[in-house]
Amino acid sequence: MVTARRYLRLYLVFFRNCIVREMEFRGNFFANAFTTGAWLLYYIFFIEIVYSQTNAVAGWTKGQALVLAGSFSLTWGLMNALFTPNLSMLPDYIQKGTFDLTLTKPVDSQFLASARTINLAEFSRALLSVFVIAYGVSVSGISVTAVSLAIYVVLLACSLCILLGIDSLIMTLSFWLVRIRNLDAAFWSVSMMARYPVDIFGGTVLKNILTFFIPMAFIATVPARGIAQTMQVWMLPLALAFAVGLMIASRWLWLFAVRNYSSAGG
Amino acid sequence: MPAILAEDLTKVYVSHQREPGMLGAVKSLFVRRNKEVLAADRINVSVDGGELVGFLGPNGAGKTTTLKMLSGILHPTSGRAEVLGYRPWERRPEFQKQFSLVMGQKNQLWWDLPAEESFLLLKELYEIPQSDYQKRVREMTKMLEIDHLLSTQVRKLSLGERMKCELVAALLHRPRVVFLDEPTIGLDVVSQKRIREFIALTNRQEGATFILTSHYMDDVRALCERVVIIDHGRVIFDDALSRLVTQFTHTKQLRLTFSVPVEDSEISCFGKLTQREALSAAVEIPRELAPKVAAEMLARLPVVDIEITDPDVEDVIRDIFQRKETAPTVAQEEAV
Amino acid sequence: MVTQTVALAPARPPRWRKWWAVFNLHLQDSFAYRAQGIVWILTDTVPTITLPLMWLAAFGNRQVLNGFTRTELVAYYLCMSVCANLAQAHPWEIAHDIKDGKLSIYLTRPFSYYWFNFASNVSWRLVRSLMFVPFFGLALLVLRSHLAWEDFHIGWTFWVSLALAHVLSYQISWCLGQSAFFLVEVGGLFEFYYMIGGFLAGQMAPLQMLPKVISQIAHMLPFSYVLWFPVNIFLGRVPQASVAVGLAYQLCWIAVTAMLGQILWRVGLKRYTAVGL
Repeated sequence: MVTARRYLRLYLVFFRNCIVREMEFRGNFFANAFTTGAWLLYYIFFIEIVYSQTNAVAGWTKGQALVLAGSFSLTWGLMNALFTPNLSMLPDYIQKGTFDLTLTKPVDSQFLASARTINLAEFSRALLSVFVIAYGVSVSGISVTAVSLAIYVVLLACSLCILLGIDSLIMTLSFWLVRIRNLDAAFWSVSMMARYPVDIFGGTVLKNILTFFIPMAFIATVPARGIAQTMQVWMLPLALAFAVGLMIASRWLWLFAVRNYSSAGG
Repeated sequence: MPAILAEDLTKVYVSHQREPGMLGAVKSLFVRRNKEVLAADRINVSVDGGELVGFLGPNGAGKTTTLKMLSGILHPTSGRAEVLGYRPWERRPEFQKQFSLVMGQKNQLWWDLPAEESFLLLKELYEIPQSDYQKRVREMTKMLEIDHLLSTQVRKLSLGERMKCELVAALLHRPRVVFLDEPTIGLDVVSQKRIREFIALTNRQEGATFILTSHYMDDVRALCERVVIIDHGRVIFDDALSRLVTQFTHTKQLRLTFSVPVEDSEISCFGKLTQREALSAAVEIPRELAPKVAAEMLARLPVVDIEITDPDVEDVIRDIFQRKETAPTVAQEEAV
Repeated sequence: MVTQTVALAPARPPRWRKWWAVFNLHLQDSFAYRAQGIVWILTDTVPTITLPLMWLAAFGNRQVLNGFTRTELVAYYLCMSVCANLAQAHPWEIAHDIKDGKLSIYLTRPFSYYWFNFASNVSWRLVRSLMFVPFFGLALLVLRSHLAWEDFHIGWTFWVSLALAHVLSYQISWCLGQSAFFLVEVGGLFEFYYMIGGFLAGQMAPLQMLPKVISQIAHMLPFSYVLWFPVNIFLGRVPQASVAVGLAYQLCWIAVTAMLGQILWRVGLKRYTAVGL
């Protein structure tokens, strides 16, 4: 409990520092907040265009598709706000040896390495996403119950854990590999597929890959199904399994990496 | 029990080498050239609480590697180390709260924020009580004359000011052991002096143990009574700074002034002639022979003045540093 | 990046040699450095696959959707991706050169910076298109059940329009990149350009699918002539008479942007040298 409170306090200081810094570069902050929001609207507009020609896409109504788009963008926005700015810097820190100082601090090194900076502008995307989800729910006429909402929140948390887990695993590899950015770029490109209903990939191999191998279906498709109450029941434990499994794996790899760390430049 | 103890501390780096280009990349999948670098070779050092010891050595000699092992950043390949009774690479928070590492070329302050914000963050990291924190910041910033700079963004500070802030940041939690890796690198003379005074004072007042590496002889002369010289990963000297000269030089200089001109040959029979003017000369002779030779010269030559001197510490150390600068390497072909 | 200087050959050698040297230099640079980012092409490939899949799923039982058959729609996006690789230029390099002050070095050389950058763009477009081939293969693989050769036009009109599109896109980038002369922060503007420019060029959806007002606006702006026009020639959707009109529009826009680019260059350079940016 004491530790939890301490880490929370620390996190608040990180947060405060990031606010102070963002306000230094206010113009930049608003420009970023604007463009991240605009890209969401850009995709929403695509959905509007597609549904202006049809009523259903692979069984998804417009409202459901909007919920899906909003869910994806919410997870994506939170990921970019809270974790990506840190994880993407990790290779640099390791190569330049700044990571050395992180290791000498009396705080968990993974916490420090993945939570230190927060990209506040990305919250605009997350916030806008909530509106999109609400709009989608009202368009589709889904009646949200306490249970379905709870399931939805759990599934969203899982989706964030899955993204974080995979990206963390990839970036931790930079302890050994120099050109890790390519792998990271590949992952982010593939994860862009998660913003579409996994059903558009048909009954093909691709759909199964995206569900069971690179679990992109759990990023948005499954949560959206969760709130629309069209989810197969076994998806929930599977999502939890993926989330917990990836969290444990990334933690394990981190500890292993740090134990075998040899810092840069002798 | 000493504050810092290293026994046979050894670190071997293994780096994979590959030839440039696509072909090299493909080749390296099958055959790897492993290069082993012995960065620290059975380092034995023991430092008592409250000591201020200088680690000297040329670049790549193994100073930083040793400091990193003692900081817990690196696991040694073999050997033992204890700092404040802890094994550093276990990275226990109790240990980490009692020590600090300052690297002159890496900063831990947030670049875009005022230094004070970073201090506040460190206060949380190290769980420093509020009252203690305030007192500490006030004292240290006053001593370093940076109390008016605390609300300026770090990126707008000069290098010297930034380094002073780094020092404050590193000492906020009253560490009992401090490692300073090149703390004055690239600074102007005035800042160097101020930082030196600050380190000396902290060492004296708080009894904290310091290990310092520096390329500046002035730092070493002003701060360290004891120096450890590391070269090729080995400790080649560990004693008082004043003993350095006797250990590493085997000669003394005799400076002679004559009343009347003297032939070269008359002088060079005593030792190596290093300097020569009409009425003066300098001769290099083995240390142990100095008194005897001097007496003989006085007797045989028209000497009006004679002076026996040691080479300068700085020259001695430069000599040591200028020997070969690379660590011995073993290259081996290894199929994977 | 490029560090070699362009050799200044003595006594008026043929012009093409200078050109070839610059082009060759950029070609090597593209292969050596920029090609390392080959994975980023995957980012472009994902929409090439997912956007048509989304439409295909929207067909339901219909055979034609707003005048597009399944095959045509897939062909639209595939052709769009090829054209984007060959034609679409980016303003970042110019902006960076201005911001980093690297422009100063180029200004001292006996070779116009405009053409220097043009050569850079051409060579990078070629290398990038080459690198796109495996990713294009991947897209073909995923979309294979909807591939068929219909009445597609890949004659000289397509190639001419694509070449003009390439020049036009470069001109737009040339103008946009020069905004770095005047603005402190250009990232927001470029992002906006990528979004709106891509959208109005038909990269997100065929302009025919958009609300009428928007597609009319798109036809009036230069962006649609960068991608949408050549792609529609390919699809055989532009009547013979309109092809000439479209090409004329492309030439017109090239002339307009060239003029704008000239003005920006004059004013910007004055600022650049005066302030010593």
